[in-house]
Amino acid sequence: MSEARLDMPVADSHAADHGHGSHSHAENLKFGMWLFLGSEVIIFTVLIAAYLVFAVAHRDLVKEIHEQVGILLVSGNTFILITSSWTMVMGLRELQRGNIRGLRRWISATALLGMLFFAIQMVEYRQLAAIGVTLTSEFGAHFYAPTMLHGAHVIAGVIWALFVVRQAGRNRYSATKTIGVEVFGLYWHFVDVIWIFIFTCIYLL
Amino acid sequence: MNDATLITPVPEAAAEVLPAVPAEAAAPAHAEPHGEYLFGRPMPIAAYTVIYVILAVTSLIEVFFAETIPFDSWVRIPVLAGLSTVKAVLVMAYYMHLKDDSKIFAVAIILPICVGIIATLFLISVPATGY
Repeated sequence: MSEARLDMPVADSHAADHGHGSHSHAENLKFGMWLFLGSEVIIFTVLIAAYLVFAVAHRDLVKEIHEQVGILLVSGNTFILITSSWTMVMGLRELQRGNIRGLRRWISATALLGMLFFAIQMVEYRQLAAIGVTLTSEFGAHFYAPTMLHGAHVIAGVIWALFVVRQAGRNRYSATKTIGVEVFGLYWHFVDVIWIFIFTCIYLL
Repeated sequence: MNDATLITPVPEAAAEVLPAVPAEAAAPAHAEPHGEYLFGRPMPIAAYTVIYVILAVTSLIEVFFAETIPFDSWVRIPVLAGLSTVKAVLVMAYYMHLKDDSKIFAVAIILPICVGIIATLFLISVPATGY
């Protein structure tokens, strides 16, 4: 054991033996989240690919439905989700500056935008149902699988955001203890990235 | 190992008289993600906000393009796919800090994306009647 280790307090020495303390722990948490997101990529890719294969084989049907529904609502939803990603990073920025109130304010805005996104998605589903696009229709089966799974991720993200706000209120985060917010941020931005591809592949192409 | 690393921890009494480390200095490397610099240029507002504006404008261009270019035009797919890729890369590089974090994080996400893209292109290329 090195001289430096002999001088360390017992707790620090123990942390060093186990791999370099809280920084290493934070990096491990982030890597775990990235691996989880990698597995999520595969799930969403399968569903989006299934839709694309269907869309290529049924171009006229897809074109007809797009013309009936339009892209106004879903474009608005895209801006809402991009804005929520911005509020998320601004919250993290405030935390890194030691401003817990700022963190709570921005993450609350993120949760609110997530709820708004889901509400608008429900309005869109009602419009689609009105023209016969249901879960049992051929188009509906391919359309609802990726978009509903994404909606479920948004709801999970909103619940997580509210949890982060609650934890912030209990002073569980600080300028040097940001990992809880960072990991949530990775999840939330991933939901945004998935939507970017769903928006293009399912609504625009 | 140099002498500096061999210094014993500061006794508690001494630590009390030392000035507190400012929050910004104590925060992780990407605390101020890119200072207020972006693409090597100083920014008058938060770099995150600049990225947000780029994302919003790119989305507007996408919607405008999708609404104006005919549904069957061949340019739709490469242009829209390119714009959405730019948006996704910006979010992952700057908002998810992939630009500054360990490269192994990038590998963990890029590998499944590549597998997914190859699998999707293969599935689309298979004729409906099969080979």
